[in-house]
Amino acid sequence: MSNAIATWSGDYYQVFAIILFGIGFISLLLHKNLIKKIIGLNIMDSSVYLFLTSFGFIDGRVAPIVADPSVPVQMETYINPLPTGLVLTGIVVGVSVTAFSLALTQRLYKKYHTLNLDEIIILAKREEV
Amino acid sequence: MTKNIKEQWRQFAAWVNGVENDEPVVTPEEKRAARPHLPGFVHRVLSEKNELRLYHAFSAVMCLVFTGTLLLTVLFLPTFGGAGNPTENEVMERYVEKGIEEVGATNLISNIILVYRGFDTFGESCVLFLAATCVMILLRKDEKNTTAYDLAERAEDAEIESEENTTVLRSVVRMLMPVILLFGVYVLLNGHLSPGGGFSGGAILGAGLILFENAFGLEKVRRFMSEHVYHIIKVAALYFYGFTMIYVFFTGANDLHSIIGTGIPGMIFSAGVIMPINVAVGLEVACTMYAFYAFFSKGEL
Repeated sequence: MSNAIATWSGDYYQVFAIILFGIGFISLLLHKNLIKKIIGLNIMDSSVYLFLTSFGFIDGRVAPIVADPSVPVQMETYINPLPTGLVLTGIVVGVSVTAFSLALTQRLYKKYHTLNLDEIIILAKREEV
Repeated sequence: MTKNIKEQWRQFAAWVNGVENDEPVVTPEEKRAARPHLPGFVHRVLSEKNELRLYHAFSAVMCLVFTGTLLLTVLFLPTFGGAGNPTENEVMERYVEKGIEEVGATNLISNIILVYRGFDTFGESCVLFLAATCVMILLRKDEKNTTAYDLAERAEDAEIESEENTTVLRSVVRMLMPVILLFGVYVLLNGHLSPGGGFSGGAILGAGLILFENAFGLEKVRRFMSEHVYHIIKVAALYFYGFTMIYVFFTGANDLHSIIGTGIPGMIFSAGVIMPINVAVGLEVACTMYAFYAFFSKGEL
Protein backbone atom coordinates (compact mmCIF):
# COMPACT_ATOMS: atom_id res chain seq x y z
CA MET A 1 0.00 0.00 0.00
CA SER A 2 2.78 2.46 0.91
CA ASN A 3 4.35 1.51 -2.40
CA ALA A 4 1.14 2.42 -4.21
CA ILE A 5 0.88 5.76 -2.42
CA ALA A 6 4.46 6.57 -3.39
CA THR A 7 3.69 5.80 -7.04
CA TRP A 8 0.47 7.84 -6.97
CA SER A 9 2.16 10.87 -5.46
CA GLY A 10 4.83 10.62 -8.15
CA ASP A 11 2.27 10.35 -10.94
CA TYR A 12 0.05 13.08 -9.52
CA TYR A 13 -0.89 14.45 -12.95
CA GLN A 14 -2.40 11.16 -14.01
CA VAL A 15 -4.11 10.65 -10.64
CA PHE A 16 -5.65 14.10 -10.78
CA ALA A 17 -6.78 13.52 -14.38
CA ILE A 18 -8.51 10.29 -13.37
CA ILE A 19 -10.26 11.97 -10.41
CA LEU A 20 -11.47 14.69 -12.80
CA PHE A 21 -12.70 11.96 -15.13
CA GLY A 22 -14.68 10.44 -12.26
CA ILE A 23 -16.24 13.80 -11.40
CA GLY A 24 -17.29 14.33 -15.01
CA PHE A 25 -18.62 10.79 -15.30
CA ILE A 26 -20.78 10.97 -12.18
CA SER A 27 -22.24 14.35 -13.15
CA LEU A 28 -23.07 12.83 -16.54
CA LEU A 29 -24.89 9.98 -14.74
CA LEU A 30 -26.72 11.79 -11.94
CA HIS A 31 -27.73 15.21 -13.26
CA LYS A 32 -31.03 15.55 -15.05
CA ASN A 33 -30.32 19.01 -16.42
CA LEU A 34 -28.98 18.82 -19.98
CA ILE A 35 -26.61 21.78 -19.56
CA LYS A 36 -25.07 20.16 -16.48
CA LYS A 37 -24.63 16.93 -18.42
CA ILE A 38 -22.75 18.85 -21.12
CA ILE A 39 -20.57 20.45 -18.44
CA GLY A 40 -19.81 16.96 -17.12
CA LEU A 41 -18.84 15.83 -20.61
CA ASN A 42 -16.51 18.82 -20.89
CA ILE A 43 -14.84 17.96 -17.56
CA MET A 44 -14.26 14.43 -18.88
CA ASP A 45 -12.75 15.90 -22.05
CA SER A 46 -10.36 18.08 -20.06
CA SER A 47 -9.26 15.17 -17.92
CA VAL A 48 -8.32 13.20 -21.03
CA TYR A 49 -6.26 16.12 -22.35
CA LEU A 50 -4.45 16.41 -19.01
CA PHE A 51 -3.76 12.67 -19.00
CA LEU A 52 -2.41 12.73 -22.54
CA THR A 53 -0.20 15.81 -22.18
CA SER A 54 1.33 14.48 -18.96
CA PHE A 55 2.98 11.72 -21.00
CA GLY A 56 4.89 14.25 -23.05
CA PHE A 57 6.63 15.81 -20.07
CA ILE A 58 10.20 14.83 -19.23
CA ASP A 59 11.95 16.17 -16.12
CA GLY A 60 14.39 19.02 -16.62
CA ARG A 61 13.64 19.66 -20.29
CA VAL A 62 12.10 22.73 -21.93
CA ALA A 63 9.20 23.38 -24.30
CA PRO A 64 9.95 22.33 -27.89
CA ILE A 65 10.64 25.79 -29.30
CA VAL A 66 14.18 26.15 -30.55
CA ALA A 67 15.79 29.39 -29.37
CA ASP A 68 18.93 29.24 -31.52
CA PRO A 69 18.36 27.38 -34.82
CA SER A 70 22.00 27.75 -35.92
CA VAL A 71 23.25 25.01 -33.58
CA PRO A 72 22.15 21.40 -34.26
CA VAL A 73 19.07 20.39 -32.26
CA GLN A 74 19.64 17.81 -29.53
CA MET A 75 16.73 15.57 -28.60
CA GLU A 76 17.80 15.62 -24.92
CA THR A 77 16.97 19.35 -24.61
CA TYR A 78 13.25 19.22 -25.36
CA ILE A 79 10.13 17.47 -24.08
CA ASN A 80 8.11 15.22 -26.36
CA PRO A 81 6.14 17.47 -28.76
CA LEU A 82 3.84 14.74 -30.07
CA PRO A 83 1.21 14.53 -27.25
CA THR A 84 0.84 18.32 -27.34
CA GLY A 85 0.01 18.20 -31.02
CA LEU A 86 -2.49 15.39 -30.47
CA VAL A 87 -4.23 17.23 -27.63
CA LEU A 88 -4.69 20.27 -29.88
CA THR A 89 -6.81 18.11 -32.17
CA GLY A 90 -8.78 16.86 -29.19
CA ILE A 91 -9.52 20.34 -27.89
CA VAL A 92 -10.90 21.52 -31.22
CA VAL A 93 -13.11 18.46 -31.60
CA GLY A 94 -14.31 18.96 -28.00
CA VAL A 95 -15.31 22.55 -28.75
CA SER A 96 -17.20 21.44 -31.85
CA VAL A 97 -19.08 18.69 -30.01
CA THR A 98 -19.97 21.09 -27.17
CA ALA A 99 -21.31 23.69 -29.58
CA PHE A 100 -23.37 21.11 -31.43
CA SER A 101 -24.89 19.62 -28.28
CA LEU A 102 -25.65 23.08 -26.87
CA ALA A 103 -27.43 23.97 -30.12
CA LEU A 104 -29.52 20.81 -29.85
CA THR A 105 -30.31 21.69 -26.22
CA GLN A 106 -31.46 25.15 -27.23
CA ARG A 107 -33.81 23.65 -29.80
CA LEU A 108 -35.22 21.21 -27.21
CA TYR A 109 -35.74 24.06 -24.75
CA LYS A 110 -37.60 26.10 -27.35
CA LYS A 111 -39.96 23.22 -28.02
CA TYR A 112 -40.58 21.89 -24.50
CA HIS A 113 -39.65 24.86 -22.26
CA THR A 114 -37.66 22.70 -19.90
CA LEU A 115 -34.12 21.39 -19.64
CA ASN A 116 -34.96 18.38 -17.47
CA LEU A 117 -34.28 15.26 -19.51
CA ASP A 118 -36.99 13.16 -17.79
CA GLU A 119 -39.63 15.80 -18.50
CA ILE A 120 -38.49 16.12 -22.10
CA ILE A 121 -38.88 12.36 -22.58
CA ILE A 122 -42.37 12.40 -21.04
CA LEU A 123 -43.45 15.35 -23.17
CA ALA A 124 -42.08 13.75 -26.33
CA LYS A 125 -44.01 10.53 -25.53
CA ARG A 126 -47.17 12.56 -24.91
CA GLU A 127 -46.80 14.06 -28.37
CA GLU A 128 -46.53 10.66 -29.97
CA VAL A 129 -49.89 9.54 -28.54
CA MET B 1 -38.01 36.53 6.69
CA THR B 2 -36.61 33.01 6.38
CA LYS B 3 -39.58 32.05 4.24
CA ASN B 4 -38.84 34.98 1.94
CA ILE B 5 -35.22 33.93 1.54
CA LYS B 6 -36.29 30.36 0.87
CA GLU B 7 -38.75 31.57 -1.75
CA GLN B 8 -36.08 33.66 -3.43
CA TRP B 9 -33.66 30.75 -3.38
CA ARG B 10 -36.29 28.53 -4.96
CA GLN B 11 -36.84 31.08 -7.71
CA PHE B 12 -33.10 31.37 -8.26
CA ALA B 13 -32.76 27.58 -8.47
CA ALA B 14 -35.66 27.47 -10.93
CA TRP B 15 -33.97 30.13 -13.03
CA VAL B 16 -30.69 28.20 -12.99
CA ASN B 17 -32.52 25.06 -14.01
CA GLY B 18 -34.19 26.91 -16.85
CA VAL B 19 -37.78 26.74 -15.61
CA GLU B 20 -39.50 29.82 -16.95
CA ASN B 21 -42.61 29.96 -14.80
CA ASP B 22 -43.36 28.26 -11.52
CA GLU B 23 -45.92 25.86 -12.90
CA PRO B 24 -44.31 22.53 -13.67
CA VAL B 25 -44.81 21.37 -17.24
CA VAL B 26 -45.04 17.76 -16.13
CA THR B 27 -46.97 16.75 -13.03
CA PRO B 28 -45.15 14.70 -10.40
CA GLU B 29 -47.64 11.85 -10.90
CA GLU B 30 -46.76 11.63 -14.55
CA LYS B 31 -43.08 11.68 -13.69
CA ARG B 32 -43.56 8.85 -11.20
CA ALA B 33 -45.43 6.79 -13.74
CA ALA B 34 -42.82 7.26 -16.46
CA ARG B 35 -39.79 6.54 -14.30
CA PRO B 36 -38.09 3.26 -15.16
CA HIS B 37 -38.21 0.83 -12.26
CA LEU B 38 -35.53 -1.43 -10.93
CA PRO B 39 -36.23 -5.18 -11.27
CA GLY B 40 -39.50 -6.46 -9.79
CA PHE B 41 -38.53 -7.65 -6.35
CA VAL B 42 -36.66 -4.43 -5.48
CA HIS B 43 -39.62 -2.38 -6.64
CA ARG B 44 -41.94 -4.31 -4.31
CA VAL B 45 -39.71 -4.13 -1.24
CA LEU B 46 -38.53 -0.52 -1.39
CA SER B 47 -40.46 2.73 -1.28
CA GLU B 48 -40.12 5.11 -4.21
CA LYS B 49 -37.75 7.46 -2.46
CA ASN B 50 -35.49 4.61 -1.43
CA GLU B 51 -35.58 3.22 -4.94
CA LEU B 52 -34.28 6.52 -6.25
CA ARG B 53 -31.62 6.51 -3.54
CA LEU B 54 -30.61 3.00 -4.53
CA TYR B 55 -30.32 4.12 -8.15
CA HIS B 56 -28.05 7.00 -7.10
CA ALA B 57 -25.99 4.68 -4.93
CA PHE B 58 -25.58 2.27 -7.85
CA SER B 59 -24.34 5.12 -10.06
CA ALA B 60 -21.89 6.26 -7.40
CA VAL B 61 -20.56 2.74 -6.86
CA MET B 62 -20.19 2.20 -10.60
CA CYS B 63 -18.28 5.46 -10.94
CA LEU B 64 -16.06 4.66 -7.95
CA VAL B 65 -15.22 1.19 -9.29
CA PHE B 66 -14.39 2.69 -12.67
CA THR B 67 -12.18 5.38 -11.13
CA GLY B 68 -10.53 2.82 -8.84
CA THR B 69 -9.68 0.57 -11.77
CA LEU B 70 -8.12 3.47 -13.62
CA LEU B 71 -6.15 4.47 -10.51
CA LEU B 72 -4.83 0.93 -10.25
CA THR B 73 -3.76 1.18 -13.87
CA VAL B 74 -1.72 4.28 -13.04
CA LEU B 75 0.46 2.08 -10.80
CA PHE B 76 1.64 0.19 -13.87
CA LEU B 77 2.24 3.22 -16.08
CA PRO B 78 5.72 4.63 -16.71
CA THR B 79 6.85 7.20 -14.13
CA PHE B 80 5.76 10.76 -14.72
CA GLY B 81 8.54 12.84 -16.22
CA GLY B 82 11.10 10.06 -16.35
CA ALA B 83 13.65 10.15 -19.15
CA GLY B 84 13.67 7.02 -21.29
CA ASN B 85 9.94 6.35 -21.01
CA PRO B 86 8.42 4.40 -23.92
CA THR B 87 6.98 7.64 -25.33
CA GLU B 88 10.48 8.97 -25.85
CA ASN B 89 11.27 6.92 -28.95
CA GLU B 90 12.48 7.24 -32.52
CA VAL B 91 9.32 9.11 -33.56
CA MET B 92 10.09 11.93 -31.17
CA GLU B 93 13.76 11.85 -32.17
CA ARG B 94 12.84 12.30 -35.84
CA TYR B 95 10.40 15.14 -35.14
CA VAL B 96 12.79 17.02 -32.86
CA GLU B 97 16.10 16.55 -34.64
CA LYS B 98 15.04 16.69 -38.29
CA GLY B 99 12.12 19.11 -37.90
CA ILE B 100 13.98 22.34 -38.56
CA GLU B 101 16.00 20.86 -41.40
CA GLU B 102 12.99 19.33 -43.20
CA VAL B 103 10.26 21.88 -42.52
CA GLY B 104 11.99 24.93 -41.09
CA ALA B 105 9.89 26.19 -38.18
CA THR B 106 11.58 26.70 -34.83
CA ASN B 107 8.30 25.90 -33.08
CA LEU B 108 8.55 22.12 -33.38
CA ILE B 109 4.87 21.57 -32.58
CA SER B 110 3.93 23.71 -35.60
CA ASN B 111 6.07 21.41 -37.72
CA ILE B 112 4.18 18.39 -36.49
CA ILE B 113 0.61 19.65 -36.62
CA LEU B 114 0.81 21.61 -39.86
CA VAL B 115 3.18 19.62 -42.06
CA TYR B 116 4.00 16.14 -40.77
CA ARG B 117 0.43 15.58 -39.61
CA GLY B 118 -1.04 18.22 -41.89
CA PHE B 119 -4.05 16.22 -43.02
CA ASP B 120 -4.95 15.53 -39.39
CA THR B 121 -5.24 19.26 -38.75
CA PHE B 122 -7.06 19.65 -42.06
CA GLY B 123 -9.66 17.15 -40.84
CA GLU B 124 -9.87 19.10 -37.63
CA SER B 125 -10.63 22.31 -39.56
CA CYS B 126 -13.31 20.38 -41.43
CA VAL B 127 -14.81 19.31 -38.08
CA LEU B 128 -14.97 22.98 -37.06
CA PHE B 129 -16.58 23.85 -40.38
CA LEU B 130 -19.14 21.07 -39.93
CA ALA B 131 -19.90 22.13 -36.35
CA ALA B 132 -20.52 25.71 -37.46
CA THR B 133 -22.74 24.44 -40.28
CA CYS B 134 -24.75 22.22 -37.91
CA VAL B 135 -25.23 25.09 -35.46
CA MET B 136 -26.37 27.23 -38.38
CA ILE B 137 -28.89 24.60 -39.50
CA LEU B 138 -30.26 24.17 -35.97
CA LEU B 139 -30.42 27.76 -34.74
CA ARG B 140 -30.82 29.96 -37.79
CA LYS B 141 -33.92 32.13 -37.54
CA ASP B 142 -35.33 32.32 -41.07
CA GLU B 143 -38.99 32.44 -42.17
CA LYS B 144 -39.63 28.76 -41.42
CA ASN B 145 -37.95 28.76 -38.06
CA THR B 146 -39.45 31.90 -36.49
CA THR B 147 -42.59 31.90 -34.38
CA ALA B 148 -44.62 34.88 -33.21
CA TYR B 149 -43.03 34.39 -29.79
CA ASP B 150 -39.55 34.77 -31.31
CA LEU B 151 -40.56 37.95 -33.11
CA ALA B 152 -41.98 39.46 -29.92
CA GLU B 153 -38.81 38.50 -28.05
CA ARG B 154 -36.64 40.03 -30.73
CA ALA B 155 -38.61 43.27 -30.69
CA GLU B 156 -38.26 43.38 -26.91
CA ASP B 157 -34.50 42.83 -27.19
CA ALA B 158 -34.19 45.60 -29.76
CA GLU B 159 -36.10 47.96 -27.49
CA ILE B 160 -33.85 47.15 -24.53
CA GLU B 161 -30.79 47.61 -26.71
CA SER B 162 -31.91 51.00 -28.00
CA GLU B 163 -32.52 52.26 -24.46
CA GLU B 164 -29.28 50.89 -23.10
CA ASN B 165 -26.55 53.38 -22.39
CA THR B 166 -23.36 51.70 -23.58
CA THR B 167 -21.02 54.71 -23.58
CA VAL B 168 -18.48 53.15 -21.22
CA LEU B 169 -18.46 49.82 -23.04
CA ARG B 170 -18.13 51.52 -26.42
CA SER B 171 -15.24 53.77 -25.45
CA VAL B 172 -13.42 50.89 -23.78
CA VAL B 173 -13.94 48.71 -26.85
CA ARG B 174 -12.71 51.53 -29.10
CA MET B 175 -9.49 51.56 -27.11
CA LEU B 176 -9.14 47.78 -26.81
CA MET B 177 -10.13 46.65 -30.31
CA PRO B 178 -6.87 47.64 -32.11
CA VAL B 179 -4.78 46.02 -29.37
CA ILE B 180 -6.76 42.77 -29.46
CA LEU B 181 -6.68 42.57 -33.26
CA LEU B 182 -2.97 43.39 -33.35
CA PHE B 183 -2.22 40.71 -30.75
CA GLY B 184 -4.33 38.19 -32.67
CA VAL B 185 -2.51 38.92 -35.93
CA TYR B 186 0.84 38.74 -34.12
CA VAL B 187 0.04 35.30 -32.69
CA LEU B 188 -1.14 34.15 -36.14
CA LEU B 189 1.93 35.34 -38.01
CA ASN B 190 4.44 34.14 -35.40
CA GLY B 191 2.97 30.66 -35.12
CA HIS B 192 6.13 29.07 -36.50
CA LEU B 193 8.48 31.01 -34.20
CA SER B 194 6.77 31.21 -30.84
CA PRO B 195 3.93 29.57 -28.90
CA GLY B 196 0.70 30.20 -30.75
CA GLY B 197 -0.50 29.62 -34.27
CA GLY B 198 -3.74 29.34 -36.14
CA PHE B 199 -6.00 28.05 -33.41
CA SER B 200 -4.99 30.38 -30.59
CA GLY B 201 -4.66 33.41 -32.87
CA GLY B 202 -8.01 32.68 -34.45
CA ALA B 203 -9.63 32.37 -31.03
CA ILE B 204 -8.21 35.80 -30.05
CA LEU B 205 -9.54 37.37 -33.27
CA GLY B 206 -12.91 35.70 -32.72
CA ALA B 207 -13.07 37.02 -29.15
CA GLY B 208 -12.31 40.51 -30.46
CA LEU B 209 -15.15 40.22 -32.97
CA ILE B 210 -17.56 39.06 -30.25
CA LEU B 211 -16.57 42.02 -28.05
CA PHE B 212 -17.11 44.40 -30.97
CA GLU B 213 -20.54 42.90 -31.62
CA ASN B 214 -21.47 43.33 -27.96
CA ALA B 215 -20.61 47.00 -27.97
CA PHE B 216 -21.82 48.16 -31.39
CA GLY B 217 -24.46 45.66 -32.43
CA LEU B 218 -24.89 43.28 -35.32
CA GLU B 219 -25.43 45.97 -37.95
CA LYS B 220 -21.94 47.43 -37.48
CA VAL B 221 -20.32 43.99 -37.76
CA ARG B 222 -22.29 43.29 -40.94
CA ARG B 223 -20.49 46.18 -42.64
CA PHE B 224 -17.31 44.12 -42.89
CA MET B 225 -18.51 40.61 -42.08
CA SER B 226 -21.86 39.82 -43.60
CA GLU B 227 -23.00 36.26 -44.08
CA HIS B 228 -21.71 36.34 -47.66
CA VAL B 229 -18.19 37.32 -46.56
CA TYR B 230 -18.33 34.70 -43.82
CA HIS B 231 -19.10 31.91 -46.30
CA ILE B 232 -16.39 33.08 -48.70
CA ILE B 233 -13.72 33.24 -45.96
CA LYS B 234 -14.55 29.82 -44.54
CA VAL B 235 -14.68 27.96 -47.83
CA ALA B 236 -11.66 29.75 -49.32
CA ALA B 237 -9.56 29.03 -46.19
CA LEU B 238 -10.44 25.33 -46.28
CA TYR B 239 -9.76 25.01 -50.02
CA PHE B 240 -6.46 26.85 -49.69
CA TYR B 241 -5.38 24.59 -46.85
CA GLY B 242 -6.42 21.42 -48.67
CA PHE B 243 -4.69 22.23 -51.95
CA THR B 244 -1.51 23.46 -50.24
CA MET B 245 -1.34 20.24 -48.25
CA ILE B 246 -1.84 18.14 -51.40
CA TYR B 247 0.95 20.05 -53.19
CA VAL B 248 3.36 19.66 -50.25
CA PHE B 249 2.67 15.95 -49.85
CA PHE B 250 2.80 15.25 -53.59
CA THR B 251 6.13 16.99 -54.15
CA GLY B 252 7.59 15.64 -50.93
CA ALA B 253 6.62 12.02 -51.49
CA ASN B 254 7.74 11.94 -55.14
CA ASP B 255 10.99 13.82 -54.57
CA LEU B 256 9.91 16.55 -56.99
CA HIS B 257 11.21 20.08 -56.91
CA SER B 258 8.97 22.18 -54.72
CA ILE B 259 8.58 25.93 -55.26
CA ILE B 260 8.22 26.31 -51.50
CA GLY B 261 11.56 26.66 -49.73
CA THR B 262 12.24 26.35 -46.04
CA GLY B 263 14.05 29.70 -45.74
CA ILE B 264 16.36 30.62 -42.88
CA PRO B 265 14.98 29.12 -39.65
CA GLY B 266 14.03 31.79 -37.13
CA MET B 267 13.14 34.49 -39.68
CA ILE B 268 9.56 35.63 -40.10
CA PHE B 269 9.42 34.54 -43.77
CA SER B 270 10.57 30.99 -43.29
CA ALA B 271 9.18 27.50 -42.81
CA GLY B 272 7.48 27.44 -46.22
CA VAL B 273 3.79 26.72 -46.01
CA ILE B 274 3.36 27.03 -42.25
CA MET B 275 2.67 30.75 -42.08
CA PRO B 276 0.02 30.85 -44.86
CA ILE B 277 -1.64 27.76 -43.44
CA ASN B 278 -1.66 29.33 -39.98
CA VAL B 279 -3.41 32.39 -41.43
CA ALA B 280 -5.99 30.19 -43.19
CA VAL B 281 -6.68 28.16 -40.03
CA GLY B 282 -6.85 31.36 -37.97
CA LEU B 283 -9.46 32.91 -40.27
CA GLU B 284 -11.45 29.68 -40.15
CA VAL B 285 -11.36 29.56 -36.35
CA ALA B 286 -12.18 33.26 -35.93
CA CYS B 287 -15.19 32.92 -38.24
CA THR B 288 -16.37 29.79 -36.43
CA MET B 289 -16.08 31.37 -32.96
CA TYR B 290 -17.97 34.45 -34.07
CA ALA B 291 -20.60 32.33 -35.83
CA PHE B 292 -21.18 30.24 -32.69
CA TYR B 293 -21.73 33.41 -30.70
CA ALA B 294 -23.95 35.08 -33.29
CA PHE B 295 -26.16 32.04 -33.85
CA PHE B 296 -26.54 31.24 -30.17
CA SER B 297 -27.44 34.80 -29.18
CA LYS B 298 -29.17 36.28 -32.23
CA GLY B 299 -29.86 33.41 -34.59
CA GLU B 300 -28.37 35.23 -37.56
CA LEU B 301 -25.06 36.54 -38.77
